[in-house]
Amino acid sequence: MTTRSLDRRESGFTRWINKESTAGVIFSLPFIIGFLMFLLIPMVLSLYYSFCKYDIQNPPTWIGLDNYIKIFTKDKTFTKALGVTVYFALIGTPLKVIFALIVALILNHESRAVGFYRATYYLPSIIGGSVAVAILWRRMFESNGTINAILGQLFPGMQSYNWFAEGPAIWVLIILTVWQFGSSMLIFLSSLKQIPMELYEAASIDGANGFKRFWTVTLPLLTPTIFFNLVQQTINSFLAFTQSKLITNGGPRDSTLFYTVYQYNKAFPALGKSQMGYASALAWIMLIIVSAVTLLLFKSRSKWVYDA
Amino acid sequence: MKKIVALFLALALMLGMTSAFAEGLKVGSFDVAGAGNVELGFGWWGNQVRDAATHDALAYFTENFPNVTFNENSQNWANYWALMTTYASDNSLPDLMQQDYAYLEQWVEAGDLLDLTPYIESGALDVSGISENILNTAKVGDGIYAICAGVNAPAMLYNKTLTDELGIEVPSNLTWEKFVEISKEIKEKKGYGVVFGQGNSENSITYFARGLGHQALFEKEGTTLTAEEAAGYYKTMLDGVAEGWMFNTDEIANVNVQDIAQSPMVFGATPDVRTWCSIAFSNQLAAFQAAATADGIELGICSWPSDDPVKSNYMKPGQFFSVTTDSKNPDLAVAVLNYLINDPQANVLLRAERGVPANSEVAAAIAEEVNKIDPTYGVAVDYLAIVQENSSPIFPPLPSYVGTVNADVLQKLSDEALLKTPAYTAEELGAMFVEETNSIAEDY
Repeated sequence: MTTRSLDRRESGFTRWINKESTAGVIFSLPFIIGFLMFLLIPMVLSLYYSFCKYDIQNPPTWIGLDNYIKIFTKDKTFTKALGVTVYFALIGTPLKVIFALIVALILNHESRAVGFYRATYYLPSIIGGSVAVAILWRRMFESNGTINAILGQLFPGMQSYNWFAEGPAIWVLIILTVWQFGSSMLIFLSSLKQIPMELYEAASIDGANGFKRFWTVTLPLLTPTIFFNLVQQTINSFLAFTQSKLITNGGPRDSTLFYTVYQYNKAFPALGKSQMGYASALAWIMLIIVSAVTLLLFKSRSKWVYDA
Repeated sequence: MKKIVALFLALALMLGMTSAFAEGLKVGSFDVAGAGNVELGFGWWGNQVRDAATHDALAYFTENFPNVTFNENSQNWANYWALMTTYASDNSLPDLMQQDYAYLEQWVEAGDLLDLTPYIESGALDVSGISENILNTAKVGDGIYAICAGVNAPAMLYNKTLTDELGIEVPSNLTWEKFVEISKEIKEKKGYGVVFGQGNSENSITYFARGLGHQALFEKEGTTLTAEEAAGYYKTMLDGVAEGWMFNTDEIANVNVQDIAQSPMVFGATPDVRTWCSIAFSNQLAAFQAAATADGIELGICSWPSDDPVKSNYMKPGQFFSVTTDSKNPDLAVAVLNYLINDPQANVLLRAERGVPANSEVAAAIAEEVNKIDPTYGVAVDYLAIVQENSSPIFPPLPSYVGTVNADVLQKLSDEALLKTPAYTAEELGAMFVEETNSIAEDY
């Protein structure tokens, strides 16, 4: 007892370094530093900038609520971009989740090739938001791209269909996002595995056919997973950027201008002064919108999600 | 000890001198070999031809001075400015950066460019071969902040193989009326169209305004055009689309007009997605021809169409090289600048791709060599000689609000004007242009 307390007194540093909490702090430092530098500090700064006129090159000047007032009262592009983004999220997300579910159901069999198929279908998600896919996508849908070449063979007259015209352009982006269903599919697959076989057997004995079993057993038990995928993919859709920026650059006439792209263009315009303050205000409005949508989804949870 | 140091210094000096003299690179009075191992940053916007040419010129410098290497940063036009603005914000601009006449002033105002006057006075930067007129285009206040990398002029490049086949003669000074006539004939007989006025550039409408007698389109307080005059510009686009020979907004979205290699003039499967001409600058002829050759097309060159090409057209000190205030080795950067401007071999390697060299001695010295590498050089030089005789003085550098006008007004209005079924009349579009431009200028 005496020796131990003597040891402790010997070196303050040894005592400090051997404390459990010190080790904890040191090991979590990488996260803490990253969190501070790349999340908390930028967020606080952007909140401050959103009340400023700030062009990056000169110091910010405080202008109060002017940015927000201008966004809500004068900025037609804001309304347009928000509309496009909501449309994209509203159509794209459910399509993607449904598609993921269908493919997961098909792949939920025991067969030797299944592993290969799962990997193949997951592949598009790995290369997901990447620049390469966006460029590939643009090339595929161009006037003389692959898609038109195939369509031209099937339906004469379609070979010069203009995918990037105002109507269909947004669908080119929606198809891309639906195609990247892999991560949702994997989550569906793992929860499909967890549905107890007994339930299916019981249903069969009760005389339920394939569809009935899906409707009364599979679907209700999957609702928590559907909910999770829906929340995650909705947030992703609202924050989508690469597709719009690289494939259509928002055009024609802003018909595919995602909110994030509009925000980026304000912050880093091709020419002219940056409007970083304005862009920051846009970012905070988006944060509030995404939070509200997520909250709504959570509120709806009790209505349709089956919690066993 | 003193002796040894003196001997060492003398030796070093001799070594430095021999290397400078033996290779004979024109680097001005700065001792490049004695500058130690340095990596200089060099940023430019470009295309494939320019990137290769610039790389060659810089590599040749490194070959002669192995202690100096370059960090090359090449971007396309749109990304370049966004990226450089970001660099400027944390003072990490490359040592040397390419500049544009129109945007020079705002970069000087932001304090990002180094005043070269002291270097010119000390002889570190030799500008004796450059005419006063050209030199002064980079003058802001009392300082000179950039050196012209090449002279060029607005130029419409066209598919000469196609016009020859149809027996159409395209005049060097193209009037708008003649342009419409040719375009209609080509559309009717071959199906090729025209991409005009689209995107976020002030070039076309500036050219139009100059044709009406305004030297500049933009002044400090706003635009010089009246709403009626601007309506005339948008009418040309509304008419072009209505008559069917101009691509509408949707059709333009389907082709890639940003990238020379994929420009609809040189790339595309069927005539209905292709154009017979491209609104460009004379120095771009080389890159366009390089892309067109694969398709067996020979390109021709003429002025942009205007009601009055002589009033509209101008000689443009095309691009500039600047040393930035972020440079940690400004003396060395100036030496490289001197090399790029004055060294004949450097300019052979640069192939006059940025335009005809501003240093007239160099321009004469390299003509034969460059012609061998790039047969279009002679064509561009001949065209510039014509423009020299048929043009008016260039507009002053643009006020800084113009970038925002490009993105927020011109892009939007041209999209509207080029709609297949337009929602606005020319008068409405003209009024919107004037009103919105002036309000941006006022807010800035």
